[in-house]
Amino acid sequence: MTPNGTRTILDSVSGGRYEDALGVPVGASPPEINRAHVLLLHRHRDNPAVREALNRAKGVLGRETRIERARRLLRIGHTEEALAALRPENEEPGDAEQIHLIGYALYQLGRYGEAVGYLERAAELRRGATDLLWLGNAFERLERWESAAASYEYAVQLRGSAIECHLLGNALVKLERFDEALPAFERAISLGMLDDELLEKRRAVLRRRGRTRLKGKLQGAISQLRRDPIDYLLMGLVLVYGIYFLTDYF
Amino acid sequence: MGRAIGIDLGTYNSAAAVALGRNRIATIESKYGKTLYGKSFPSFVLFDHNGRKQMVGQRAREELSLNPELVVWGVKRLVGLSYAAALESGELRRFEYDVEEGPGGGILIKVGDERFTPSHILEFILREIKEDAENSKVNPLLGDVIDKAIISIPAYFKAIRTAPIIEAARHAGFEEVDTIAEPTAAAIDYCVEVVREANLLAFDIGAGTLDVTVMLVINEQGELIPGELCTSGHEALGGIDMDDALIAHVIDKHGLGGIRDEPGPMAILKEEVEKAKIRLSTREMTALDLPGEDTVQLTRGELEETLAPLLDKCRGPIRVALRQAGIDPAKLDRVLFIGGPSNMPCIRKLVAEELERLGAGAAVLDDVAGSPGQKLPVDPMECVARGAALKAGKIVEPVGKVIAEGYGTIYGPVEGDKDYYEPIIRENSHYPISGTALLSHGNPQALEVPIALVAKRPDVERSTDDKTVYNYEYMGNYTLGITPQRRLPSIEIQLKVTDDKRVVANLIHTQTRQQVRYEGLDLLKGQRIDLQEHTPPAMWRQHDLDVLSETVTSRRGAWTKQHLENLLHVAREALALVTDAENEKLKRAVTEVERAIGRAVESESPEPNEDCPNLSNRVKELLDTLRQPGIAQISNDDFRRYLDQLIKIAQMV
Repeated sequence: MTPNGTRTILDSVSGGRYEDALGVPVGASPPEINRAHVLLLHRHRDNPAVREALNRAKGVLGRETRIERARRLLRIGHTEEALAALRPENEEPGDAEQIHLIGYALYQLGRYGEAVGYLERAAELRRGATDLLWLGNAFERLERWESAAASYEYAVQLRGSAIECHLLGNALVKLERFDEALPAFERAISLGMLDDELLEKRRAVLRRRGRTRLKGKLQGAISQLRRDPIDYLLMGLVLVYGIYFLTDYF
Repeated sequence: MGRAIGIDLGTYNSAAAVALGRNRIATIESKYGKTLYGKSFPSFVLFDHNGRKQMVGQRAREELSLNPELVVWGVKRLVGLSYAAALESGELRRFEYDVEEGPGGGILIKVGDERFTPSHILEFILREIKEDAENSKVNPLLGDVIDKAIISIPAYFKAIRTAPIIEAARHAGFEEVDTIAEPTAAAIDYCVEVVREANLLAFDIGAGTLDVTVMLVINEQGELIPGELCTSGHEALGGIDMDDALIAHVIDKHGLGGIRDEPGPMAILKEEVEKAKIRLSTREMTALDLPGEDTVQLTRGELEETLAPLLDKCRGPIRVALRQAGIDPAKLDRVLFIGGPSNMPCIRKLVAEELERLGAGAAVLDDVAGSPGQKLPVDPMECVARGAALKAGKIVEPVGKVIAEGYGTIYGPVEGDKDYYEPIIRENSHYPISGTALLSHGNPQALEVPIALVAKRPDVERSTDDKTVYNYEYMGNYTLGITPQRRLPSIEIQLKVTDDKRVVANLIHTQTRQQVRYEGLDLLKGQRIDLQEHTPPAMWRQHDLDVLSETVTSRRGAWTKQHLENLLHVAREALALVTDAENEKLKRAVTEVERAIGRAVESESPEPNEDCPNLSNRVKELLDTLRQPGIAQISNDDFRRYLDQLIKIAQMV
């Protein structure tokens, strides 16, 4: 145990770095924590603020569950330690939260392929929208847009919040499924998500969709003209109209 | 400046001591001398028929068989309890004095025309101890003003039960009052023998309560540091429960059912049974003088058989305390026995059995089982007062005071139909301690936010070897009045357990910093509730809520088809509720908006309000119509709700 000063203890506790406050390694055993706590309390017995901070550190370290520890470590950016605390090697097959957090930690570490496996299993176990959200994110990182869209679509069915709708819209845009992306963005907006980025995306989808529809109309007109050569003369007029429309649109 | 003394405030008997040096501790004598039970101050108060205090201590106790309705005793079992809780637990049945419900649901003891709270009675006992300690004829070593006291309190007592004891001590004339957990005090008395480091289990069974505390004592270069690690126990398990069981056994066995309603003979039987219980700690058989002329025999076997179901309740706290302290039973160095009943061979045997099952080492087990005539490391009757005196004299300073229960809040079901418990301060934490939690409220228009606070503690009776289960007690809804903001209200809950074990809550609106403070939260009216213990699956993370909240605030005048459809839906609902005359105006406005929306939707414009000035005008007209006096004054609640909703939507647009 390293000797800890008043400032270090207070700073560590306020930052959620409770191991630092007590001067014990992450994953220290309860007797190590107990000993450090008793000695530090004794050394700082005249400072109520430090006593309280030490008590809080011990209160967390001594009682938090494996899951709570992992969450705390993830929150303060100690992802490797969080993963170690979750002990993937001792995974509980039915513990969806543990499996989710392993997947999330792997995602944060950039191990997207491995993360997908865990997040998929967590989502299967508890049909959780949050699992599907991160699963979709992992698929996006792997550029598996079809899978990402499928995950978000399922998440929308389960929870249907603005976040899932927005992400679904993004994935569908990547797949150039603008007709489906538009209602997803519309729904995100109707649920209260009205940031500039989303509104811009919606406008872009409308433009892209318009362009696609126009392209379809032009192709239809050309086929018809080919079937009826008499109307070939009119083709030029249609093209002029098309060019005019596009210019106007942009 | 006066002296400081340590007081062991017991359910049956109290004791006090003063430390004149590290190995020089003097027990404070009572003017009536020592009692049969080894402590000087029986916790009994005698009143006259008008409710005036007459005597405290041994003389008062002697009056019990003659005037049982005038002798108030055992109030430590009642302090901090609600009348309803005491009634429900059967606690009140054993007392011959009158007890009634007081203001706020508390307990009032009625003697003659006077009424006393349990805290008043404790004040009389503490005042008696103070006066005797200051009396140079009784305690010539002291002969000084006593103005500071360290009072021992069961470690397992809830916060609400500690506060009235401190209050009683202050009223009794002690200017400075602090508390110490009873097992810690006993360990301090013992720990002067610790050479380097020792894990101790203090098993403290008194007349009224059971405490099991696990401690780590470190000897750092000659300075002793006793640290409490964890505590468990029962608030209502002790000698008087054993006496109740033995009295019931003797009455049944000898057909004495008739004396149940006779206070005098019952008091005699109670005293006889208590004496017999003490004698059976060293003998196999003893005689019991029944009220009247008869004498009967009571054997140790009979006593053990009668008490077996009660004593079995001692096993749970041992398991829970060791598990929660994170101590491997094999690493336990010593077991300290504290309190009169701990001399009973059946209790020693039970503790040894339980520790053996948990895997304690052979040396500890031999020590626990003991041998006849073995000298105990501490005197079980005096060690608490002696330890408190060592703390009072600042000779040994214990560290780490443990609060048995945890505190938290609840939030609604995420999946399933049960609420979830959100911990803020963990059970078995050391205090003073504080913790915070952030709770979002779903309604941005709320004018007040109720926060439900809950206490949680291990359920020692339901805890099995593999799992600790918990009891949740609802402490009540504490509300914070807030000014609505454009975003969802987010409330920070700050909970604190102060140095004197009071629970304080601060509720703060994070956006406006409006706050309210609740002090001395208690469990007086606490009711048991059923909560899910684990983290909810796939719950909303704070990040999700932040994003949502941000989006609500970032509406910047854009209209969408969905907004307009919402607006129309609400307007149509409102239409059904207004009178015919008003209906026409509203109907016209709604229809106009409907038409305008139709045109806007057909145009597939991304921003209908930019391209359809007509629609903007129609919505404005609709709002104006809704604000007209005739409509705005409609008192129908449903309509008002629709109207508010509609105006809210329109304001977002």
